Amino acid sequence: MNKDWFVLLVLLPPLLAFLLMVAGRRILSKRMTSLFGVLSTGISLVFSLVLLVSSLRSGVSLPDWEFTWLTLDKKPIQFGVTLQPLNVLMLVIVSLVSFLVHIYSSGYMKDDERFTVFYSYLALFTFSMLGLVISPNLLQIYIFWELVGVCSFLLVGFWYFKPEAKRAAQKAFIVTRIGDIGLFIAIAMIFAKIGSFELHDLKGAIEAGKLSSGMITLFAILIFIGAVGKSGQFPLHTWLPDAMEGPTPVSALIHAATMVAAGVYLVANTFWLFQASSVAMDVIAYVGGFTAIFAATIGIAQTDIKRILAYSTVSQLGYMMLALGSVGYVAGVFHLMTHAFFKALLFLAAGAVIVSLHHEQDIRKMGGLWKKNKGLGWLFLIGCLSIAGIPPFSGFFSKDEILLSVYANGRYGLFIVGVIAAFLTAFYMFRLFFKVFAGSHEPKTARVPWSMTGPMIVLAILSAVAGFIQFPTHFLETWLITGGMKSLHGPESIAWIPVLAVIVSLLGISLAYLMYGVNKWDSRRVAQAVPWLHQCLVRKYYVDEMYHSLIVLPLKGFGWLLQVWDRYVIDGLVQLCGWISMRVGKIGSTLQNGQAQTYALISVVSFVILIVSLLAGRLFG
Amino acid sequence: MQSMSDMDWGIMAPEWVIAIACALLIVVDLFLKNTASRRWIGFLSLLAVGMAGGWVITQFRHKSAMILDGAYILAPYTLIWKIILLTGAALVLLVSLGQEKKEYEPHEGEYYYLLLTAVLGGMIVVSTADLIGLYTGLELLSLSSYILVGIQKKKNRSNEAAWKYVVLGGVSSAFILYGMSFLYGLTGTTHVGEIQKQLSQVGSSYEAYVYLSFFLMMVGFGFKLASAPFHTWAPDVYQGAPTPITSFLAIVSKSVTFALVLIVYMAYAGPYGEFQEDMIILFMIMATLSMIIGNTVALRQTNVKRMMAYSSIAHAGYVLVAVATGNQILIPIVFFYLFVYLFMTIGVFAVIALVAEQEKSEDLKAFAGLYHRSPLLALSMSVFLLSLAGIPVTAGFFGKFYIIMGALELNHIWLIAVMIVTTIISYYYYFAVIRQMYFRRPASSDPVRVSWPMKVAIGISLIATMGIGIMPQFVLETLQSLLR
Amino acid sequence: MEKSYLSLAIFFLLGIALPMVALFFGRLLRPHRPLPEKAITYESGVDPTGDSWVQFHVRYYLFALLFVIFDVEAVFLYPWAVSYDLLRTEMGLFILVEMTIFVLFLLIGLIYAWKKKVLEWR
Repeated sequence: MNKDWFVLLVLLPPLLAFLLMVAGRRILSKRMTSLFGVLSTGISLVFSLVLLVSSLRSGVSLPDWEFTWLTLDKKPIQFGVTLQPLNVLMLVIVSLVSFLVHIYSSGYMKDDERFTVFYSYLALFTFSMLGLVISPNLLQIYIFWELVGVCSFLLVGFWYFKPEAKRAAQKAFIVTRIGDIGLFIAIAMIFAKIGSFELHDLKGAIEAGKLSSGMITLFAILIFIGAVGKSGQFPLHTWLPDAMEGPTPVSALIHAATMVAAGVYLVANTFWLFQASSVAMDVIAYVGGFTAIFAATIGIAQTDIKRILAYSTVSQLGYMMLALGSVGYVAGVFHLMTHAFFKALLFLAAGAVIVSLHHEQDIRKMGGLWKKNKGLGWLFLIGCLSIAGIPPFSGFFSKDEILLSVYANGRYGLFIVGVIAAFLTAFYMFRLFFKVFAGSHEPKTARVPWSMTGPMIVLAILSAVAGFIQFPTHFLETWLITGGMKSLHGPESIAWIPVLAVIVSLLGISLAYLMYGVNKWDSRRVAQAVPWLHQCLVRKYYVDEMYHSLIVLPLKGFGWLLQVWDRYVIDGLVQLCGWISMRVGKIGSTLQNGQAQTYALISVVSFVILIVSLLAGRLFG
Repeated sequence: MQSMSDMDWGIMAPEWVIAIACALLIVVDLFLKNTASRRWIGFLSLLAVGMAGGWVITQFRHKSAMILDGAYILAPYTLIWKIILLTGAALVLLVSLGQEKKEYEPHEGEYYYLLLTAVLGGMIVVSTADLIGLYTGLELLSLSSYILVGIQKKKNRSNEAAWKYVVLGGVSSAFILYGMSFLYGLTGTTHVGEIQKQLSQVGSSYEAYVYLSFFLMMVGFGFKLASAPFHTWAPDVYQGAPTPITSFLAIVSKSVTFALVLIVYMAYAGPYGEFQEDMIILFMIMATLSMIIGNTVALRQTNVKRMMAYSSIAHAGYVLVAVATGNQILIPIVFFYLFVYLFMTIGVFAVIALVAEQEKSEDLKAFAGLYHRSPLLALSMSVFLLSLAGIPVTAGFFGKFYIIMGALELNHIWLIAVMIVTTIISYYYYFAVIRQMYFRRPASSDPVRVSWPMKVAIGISLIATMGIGIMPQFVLETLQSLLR
Repeated sequence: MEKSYLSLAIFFLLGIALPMVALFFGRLLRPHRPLPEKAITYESGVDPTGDSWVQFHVRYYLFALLFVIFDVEAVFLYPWAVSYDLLRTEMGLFILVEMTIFVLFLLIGLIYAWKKKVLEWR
């Protein structure tokens, strides 16, 4: 079987769907549009599953292929495809979640006027994301990296008539751009250093010891800065909660399951680079650990259902980074996968909650939904149990792996941080759950269509059982590390760690139950007891404000100065250049007076001038 | 001497196809009723061009050959030239067929077969290395184009354009002939290879005549190329000619002249004196002037066809940069650029033809709000314009990129500087069209009707423009391997 | 090399000088006694009437063009016919085929002119 074609079959349907939707914007009905969208991602899903099966069966990475796109100074710049197990796994995750979100959107967005536009953006995003995860070189990664960024920008700002959405889109674009600059510098430096964008060339250079350790650390940190921006790690996390202004399916697809995990994927994909530098590993582990607990604490005090989920996403991404920083390659990737399932489920369920409560997002105004919609309650509960890490749901296994790698790596401080974060996670997730579903409210609800419920059920099943691909047989690990990463075997399991994790989670759930489920302890009293802390959490540690006064204001001042410079000096120069061009143009067009005699004369005079000047130069020169 | 009847006349098959089709169509057209539709003559011409093109492609397997004492050559480079010419002609025919209301209605039959004779002339030029052959081919091409430019008998502007083209074209032909006569006088032969041999022996003692002959010819070639300072006819003629003919002049005539320049260049390639240096200086001056004049004067134009005339002057300048480097390695790059230029130019002119027909105006304002009327058409036009402007990752960008890289290797820094600066200036007028299409209100909201031959022409150009932009290396390497 | 420039310069100078010298000496040598009769345009001794900028009918040009075409044909055909026997022994039947093609193309020209009514005086 020739696999080259299969990759194209995964990649092209969304692109074709995108082109079709752009072309037929006026003609396509909503039904047709959603049909195309679902069909194209469905095809992608089927063929990525085929790839998965053949990858599993062959046990080694599938053959890569590349073609030379351009030769720059004798150095070939190539485009191609790589199909290591990690790439194949990402293909399946992305196409699966995208497929489900496409189905879900046909229900969620059905009243939107720009339905086709929405679907075309979704399709473009799916294509870019698929392209990103099969890229064998940094240049290609960067191109798709920017493409997904653009799609995210378009989709966050999809309801551009809302000023918050517009602002959020801009913020998302600019903040991630800061990270992208790091990545860009890294790519440029790597090309300058080893003369290739290829990941395997870079790997070869490191293995051959061609790069100094300082250089490796620098590259690793710069790449990590890119990952920080995309994956919402501290301190560039601020755009992700704001990005919740986008439609909920977008939050589920882009800002929970796929694009924000791209940073984690990038680190995992260049893991050998990070492994070669202990400093870089420390940086990842500490940034990840800090982000995990930092975002979790903020999550406690938020009141917007989607923002809580957003902070939880930030926190879980921190977890993944923590795992990678503690050499828990498999743990990190495993959590990436389970998180994609349960967080997508939670977002889709949150979307269903929002729809059924007539577009209410404030959890303080919710409650009692359990009685009205038991099915939705169960689905939400499965997501919550999974993220809280209760066995046998998938989150339990992946979180356990992470804690295990952190402990085995000897990072005991971070281990405690991880455990506390697990407690906080369980607490705020169930706070959310009880706020929405428990209570004596009798909310007026709208019906949730099947197109929305179906994808949630699939995700709920996956969230429930996905953990068993790593337990009890370490199946995922065996497969993932066949691609020449034998050194990444996970540590032996330690029995007390999962027990501790479960106890901690149960504690968190119980606390949430007491405070919000049966209102035994009044949460307001808690808040009043430590008002400064509560305020701090509500304002998200004042990070945005700090950015505003520390960066935005000085920048504005500087910007003002620049503007003056720009207006009077640069603009003057530009005007001058334009003026000169126009003058030259004018002289040229004056000669163009329409008389053939003049034309002939110009030619003859030019001829005489040319030949005389050159001949004279020869004779006397 | 090889006997005439023993010669392998088969290698001339593409020319025969065109010539015979042309003769037949003339006769058929004469005996048709005046009222009969002549549309199918266009399709037959297209068929003939297609057959000739197919034949040319099979000839790539044929080993290089020569007949008629070297007056007709079959070599990879002649075949690539023919592919360029025939592709250009086929697309021009498609665009002509796609125009709903022909600008040259009563002479439609003549229009098609004159296009064929023009292409035949071009094919003769590119496949000969004999001065007489070169001149005859060039005149066949030129005479046909004079008529084609003025085929709208009832339109003043067309008449004016044709008249100017004939008179100034005649002058330029005279220059070329005069220059050729000196070459013949010096060497006693009309064959370029022989001339080169002779010149490398006697050239240094008759340097002045060598200069004179070359400069005289270059005046003529500069005229046919529409390269400054011999470009003056181009804006008026481009504006007055029917739109498909304008694109024909911009693509086929220009490519043929570049072939001519490269062939004549060979005649002077002997090792003598400082002449070579001066030859390159002349090319550089022409390239620089073309880029500057073309791109700056275009800024002031409001008629799109006139603007494109200046744009084509500028593009002649870019290609001349590659020619000026005088390096054999750059030949594939010249081919690459002309291929790219062919597709994007045809695309632009096809859209111009459509819009001008619908709006009855060739003004820049006719494009206002095109995006809101026909988004796909506007998108295609944007791709062509961006490519012409040379925005990164379009076919046009790689064309310029390769030329700059080539010139860089030979250290022509100031030439590159001029090229980059004028390219940036050119953004302004290309974007003027894009601005009209996207940010202005349309006068009417009905979509532009696009007939199917137009769709095919625009589609092919679009796919080729984007395809070459995506895989430039592949195309360049194919050209290089064909030429090897 | 210097010689070639010199010869070129002489060539140019002669080209410019010849008409000037001829006209100048002509003016010096000839007697100059203008009379009204001498000043009028010479037209075979007949008194000129009307404007000299007479427009000729375009049809004359068409006839002239046709004449040139067949004149050229004759110029090619005549020597061909004279040396036909000689050429045939050298090149065989090809020589006949070649001329036939030539004549055929001219024939198309004739038909073209005929159908376009160039041969009729309207």
